[in-house]
Amino acid sequence: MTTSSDLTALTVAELADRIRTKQVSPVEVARAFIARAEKLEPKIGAFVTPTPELALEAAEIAEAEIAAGNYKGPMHGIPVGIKDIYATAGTRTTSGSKVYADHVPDRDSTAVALLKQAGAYSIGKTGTVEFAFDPTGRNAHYGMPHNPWGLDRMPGGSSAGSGAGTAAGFFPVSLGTDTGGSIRIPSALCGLTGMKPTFGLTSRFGVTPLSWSMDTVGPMARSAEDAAIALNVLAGYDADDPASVRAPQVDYTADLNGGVRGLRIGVPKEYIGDILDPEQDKAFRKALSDLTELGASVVEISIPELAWVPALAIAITGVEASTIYGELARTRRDELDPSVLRRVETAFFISGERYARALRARVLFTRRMNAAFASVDLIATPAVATPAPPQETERMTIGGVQTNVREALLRDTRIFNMSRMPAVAFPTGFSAGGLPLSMQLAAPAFQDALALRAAHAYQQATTWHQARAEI
Amino acid sequence: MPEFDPEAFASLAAAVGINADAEHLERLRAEVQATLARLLELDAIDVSDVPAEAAGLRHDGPGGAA
Repeated sequence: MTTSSDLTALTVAELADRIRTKQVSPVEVARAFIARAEKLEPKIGAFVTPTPELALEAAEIAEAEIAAGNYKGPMHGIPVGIKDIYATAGTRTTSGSKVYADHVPDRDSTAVALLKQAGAYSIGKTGTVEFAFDPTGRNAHYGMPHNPWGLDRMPGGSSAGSGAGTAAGFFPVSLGTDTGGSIRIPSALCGLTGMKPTFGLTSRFGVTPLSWSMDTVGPMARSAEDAAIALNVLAGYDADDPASVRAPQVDYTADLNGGVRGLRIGVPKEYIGDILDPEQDKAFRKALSDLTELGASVVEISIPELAWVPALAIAITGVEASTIYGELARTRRDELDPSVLRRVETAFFISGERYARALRARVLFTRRMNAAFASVDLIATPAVATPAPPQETERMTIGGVQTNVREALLRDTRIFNMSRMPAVAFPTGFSAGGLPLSMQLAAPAFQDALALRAAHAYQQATTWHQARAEI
Repeated sequence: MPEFDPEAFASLAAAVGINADAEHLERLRAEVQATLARLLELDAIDVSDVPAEAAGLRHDGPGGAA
């Protein structure tokens, strides 16, 4: 007999198996997650707008469909946490902003519509940094969610509520977005598996923008297998998104058990070790050793151009964000989060020539990354430089190096936003203080399945991703 | 990189539409200063091999970007 509390510990794959074989009903699943969220939400603060009633209604519909023999697939009857920058018809979408506190879209974003078509449903809108413009998870209007692994710790952002809520067992999978690491950073800090797909593979239609040339939609889950299941639903061409790409249709779960034997994994010798917590580094090296034992070969590679990444990201993200939010910054400045406002305003001072130069340098950088992939199948780096910092952290010392907390969180993830390649972050252990450690594996553009396959192989041989926070 | 004089920065900020109090302007001045210093790194990158029109949103699809 499966109890309610057991259900919230299951992965999407495990829940789907029980739903498909009618061992549990979608309504039982919904009730279990809703009960856990209602009990623990006061400690976590993952939601901006919880929608338990709508979730139960959707679960009842899923239950009736399945009872009638219309099982749609592994997302059918699965509750999902939706980052509050995805438009949800009839449910407010604040984008983490006071300006949009009462904004109720009349149409779903494409990602939410695809999840609904697959039989999944929203259990609530999760907390985000205002306009997704910060990696810490802070939000002056709605608060910063608490990391389930240390309630005084950052959950990471900008998909902060999706990270904290998935790790807390409020839903088994969630939607995040990733412009500089906003899926992978909270996944890393909260002990999750977060997938940033290839730019253009998933539709951003109906998602509040930050950087039109790097925003990416993707899942946050408790395993690579669950991320693959969700990506199967989310991936696909959408004429409503001008950056959407007509890529071949791929079943991201089909090759999950292909293992890593024979794969070459490159580890950059520059940049990634410049700012890196010793425990994070040790777990990363151990994970590489584990992958070697599984049959992969790990080789050092040289990409000196990684040093360009912070400046490129500052110029491109800054100018694109200020293009989108500059008018709000001028006309409704008192309603914006002061730190987000300052970041938008800072970009007013970046010249058009510098922005264009950064775009051109990004092309060179992508060429260099493509060249690196000529000799390896995957590139591995730590996902973030540090375990989850205390919530109030602004500056910190990592491995003897003084740095800004934003730089510490973003420096490794945004490599692959810049190259627009897929990257999956997943847990590799715990710090002495009990905080999750994490690495990321990146693949060439549109080889998302390969990154997920390697992460899955690692998770078949380790148990870090199965650990659950005591809250 | 030369430092912005606070008064000159306030004028410049006003010119781009920022009408804020002194405390906000002082924090913004520090942030702008640090950002522009960081962006000097871009000037050292030789981008002459990439035509400006090849560097937009365009994504070449499977096989990689430009």
